Amino acid sequence: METIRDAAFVHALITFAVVIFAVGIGVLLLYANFQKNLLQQQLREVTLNTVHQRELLRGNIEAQEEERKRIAQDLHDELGAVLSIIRMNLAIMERRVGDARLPAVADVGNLRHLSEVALKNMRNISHRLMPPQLEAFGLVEALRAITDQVAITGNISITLSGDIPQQRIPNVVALSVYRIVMELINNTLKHAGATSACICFDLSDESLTCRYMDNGKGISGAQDNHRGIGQKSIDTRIHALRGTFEIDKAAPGYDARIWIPLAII
Amino acid sequence: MAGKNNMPLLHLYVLLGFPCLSRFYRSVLEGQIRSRIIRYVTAVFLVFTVVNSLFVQQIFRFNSYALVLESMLIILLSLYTFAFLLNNTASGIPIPDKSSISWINSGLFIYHVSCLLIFYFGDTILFCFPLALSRFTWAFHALFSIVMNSCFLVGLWKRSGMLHLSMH
Repeated sequence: METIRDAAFVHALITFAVVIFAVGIGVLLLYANFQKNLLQQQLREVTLNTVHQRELLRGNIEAQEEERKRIAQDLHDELGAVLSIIRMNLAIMERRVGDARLPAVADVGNLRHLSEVALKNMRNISHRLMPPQLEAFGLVEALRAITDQVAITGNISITLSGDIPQQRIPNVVALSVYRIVMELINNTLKHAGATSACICFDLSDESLTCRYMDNGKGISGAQDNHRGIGQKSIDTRIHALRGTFEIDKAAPGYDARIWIPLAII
Repeated sequence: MAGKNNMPLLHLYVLLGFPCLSRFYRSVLEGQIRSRIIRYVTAVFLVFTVVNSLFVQQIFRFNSYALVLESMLIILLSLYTFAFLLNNTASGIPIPDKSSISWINSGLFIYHVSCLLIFYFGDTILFCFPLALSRFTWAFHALFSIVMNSCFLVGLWKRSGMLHLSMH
């Protein structure tokens, strides 16, 4: 009789323990569900935040480029015109006086020369701020104008390959890639000690790929860790366009690959 | 060991096991509960279990009081940990570590919740009930223990490698 009572007790105890176990499992499942929802919510917030930041960054870059364009135009149209008039008047004054031996004529000649230098510098600054070839002829031609200028120095030859029809890529992409490639060319000229470089473009419906290579010193580990303003500017532009920038450290020299998606622009 | 009363090992296990678990919770809940509180609770529990083992449920008996108290404390700590993990303040913990802590905490919660009653009646079941019934009950305990240890295994598997227990 006692054994039956004991068995009933143990049976009740085990049943109760199993019920509590089941409830416990239920609590855990509920917790897992809460945690999953929380995680999804956090992910959504992070994604929204990233998108918002990227939009801000792009807006910032576009505003910067607009401002550059305005300054370049103002420089070219207003200051350039004034300097041209000064130069023309000085040339006329020089011709009127005629006698080159007079000190005043020499001074006018000097002034004319200085105004020509100022005009040339102003034009260079204006072109650096907003290359006129970029809007008129597209990315490849704008870069070709630069590589041709670099080739004149005779220290380095830069090969440019690939064709990008002007209408195929948005202005913001063309301008960003132009600035990035300019930064890379600048790095090659300043630090790499290279004798040749190559810029290859590959355009598809979905993306624009640009590969930049030179036969210089390449990038060392220390340089890689120390990211200068130029590299930060490249990163910012790439991030704003949702692209990628990869450097092949195993390659001899410098070998970078820029990839920009075109679908979401 | 057959036929020998090995209850002293259980007393020792409780005495050494709880400080380890309290250290785990101290490091998980760092910044949430003052570590001093968990230390005091651990000290009080140790005094209680020593007094219980020496004077109340001596070392050859089943220490149900100490086990029940341990289970209740672990249940409280694990519930607090669940609340903490659902809180935004835990968002700084990497996801693999969070998952790992969740699994370990779940194992402890489910084991202690399920075994609370078995522990409470453990002394009676062991020494007053027929052996078959006692074995039947402890088989269920073993099942819950397997569940807990499986959760530990998954938790350790999922950890990021960066997870470490703080020493303070």
